[in-house]
Amino acid sequence: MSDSIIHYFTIAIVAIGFAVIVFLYASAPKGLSEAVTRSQVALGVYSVDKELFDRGVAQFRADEFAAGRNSFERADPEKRDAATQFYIAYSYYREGWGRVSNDDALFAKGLQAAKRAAELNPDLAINDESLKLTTPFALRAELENGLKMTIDDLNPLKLFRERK
Amino acid sequence: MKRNEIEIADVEIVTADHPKDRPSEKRADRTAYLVVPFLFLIVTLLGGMRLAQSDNSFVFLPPELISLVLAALTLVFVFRAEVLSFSGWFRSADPILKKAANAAVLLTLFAATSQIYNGLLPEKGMLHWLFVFCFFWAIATNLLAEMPARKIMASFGTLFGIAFIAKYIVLASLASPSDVSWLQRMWENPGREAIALVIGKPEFSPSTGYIHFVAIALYLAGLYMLPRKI
Repeated sequence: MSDSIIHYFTIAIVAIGFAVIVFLYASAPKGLSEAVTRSQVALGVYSVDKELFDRGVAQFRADEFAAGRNSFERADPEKRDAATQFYIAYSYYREGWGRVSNDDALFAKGLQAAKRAAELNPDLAINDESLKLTTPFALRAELENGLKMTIDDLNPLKLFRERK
Repeated sequence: MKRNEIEIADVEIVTADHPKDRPSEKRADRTAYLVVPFLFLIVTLLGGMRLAQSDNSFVFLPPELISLVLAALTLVFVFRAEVLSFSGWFRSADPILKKAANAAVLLTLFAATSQIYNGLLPEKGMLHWLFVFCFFWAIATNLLAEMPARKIMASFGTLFGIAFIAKYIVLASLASPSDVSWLQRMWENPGREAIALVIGKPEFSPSTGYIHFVAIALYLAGLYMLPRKI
């Protein structure tokens, strides 16, 4: 190996090494698996786990919201997929929805997830017949309305409304 | 006849003195260019790494400014004491590529040194500044004393060893289980809790010490492998 190749090699080792170290310190993964996921995001090869996502949708349809969210969160640990975040938001909405009053804590978490979904893909429209709200903006508006305290809350007809 | 012998002897002397023709010199150069930066990069990665006390998850702490200052002073000292020769690493006759490669190696040395200080300094509290003072004192004393390179390396090895024992063995013994209430800890071991309150309790898992033990060993190995001139 000639001297110049060795010198090029040294410079490459140092540049790549520092890039990896800066990336690790900036992204601060909590473990090796998280480090691998974040590297996938950085390299642009990150994707959701389809099997876990499908399982989450099935659990969501069976009204097993906590289990569904668990599957969605495992399918998209980096919170980078708009559809997964949309379903997480919807599961919070359905679980927190009440005929008399809503669970504000669950609605607030749902609102955060809906905002994330809207930021990730503003044009997202979910093709799912079991859902009445199919865009993150519609879901976000529904969650925001649910969190607001208005005179409309005292309307007795509210007892006959349907969960979307 | 005599004249011929003298000529042959001269040629042999010239050949043997040329460093590039010595296999051992070439091997040392390759080690310095290929192995040493790799070792120092691993040290740079491990130096700021801690394990959280609660669940042993990774925590990455970038070096504080004081670690960078200590590292810079250490490098100044290393060059001034001729452990590494500046003119031997940056010869004006060398091509730019070689100078860039040498600078890259020295950059990894600087980063590793700052991360070694990052790992050895307690994160906060009175002891942090006490350790900083001790490191400054040691570097200043070594700067004034004219010692051979081997003794300087031994001096740094000892300094790092003492700091490591103080932080990861003595101070780590002050760590108490996080699931026990403060009152219970105080009742069970008031002396330990009182000392921990005054000098600052370690915030990270004791197993962090193993990571830094490896980091210091690799750093010293890298320093040992660095040639004075390249």
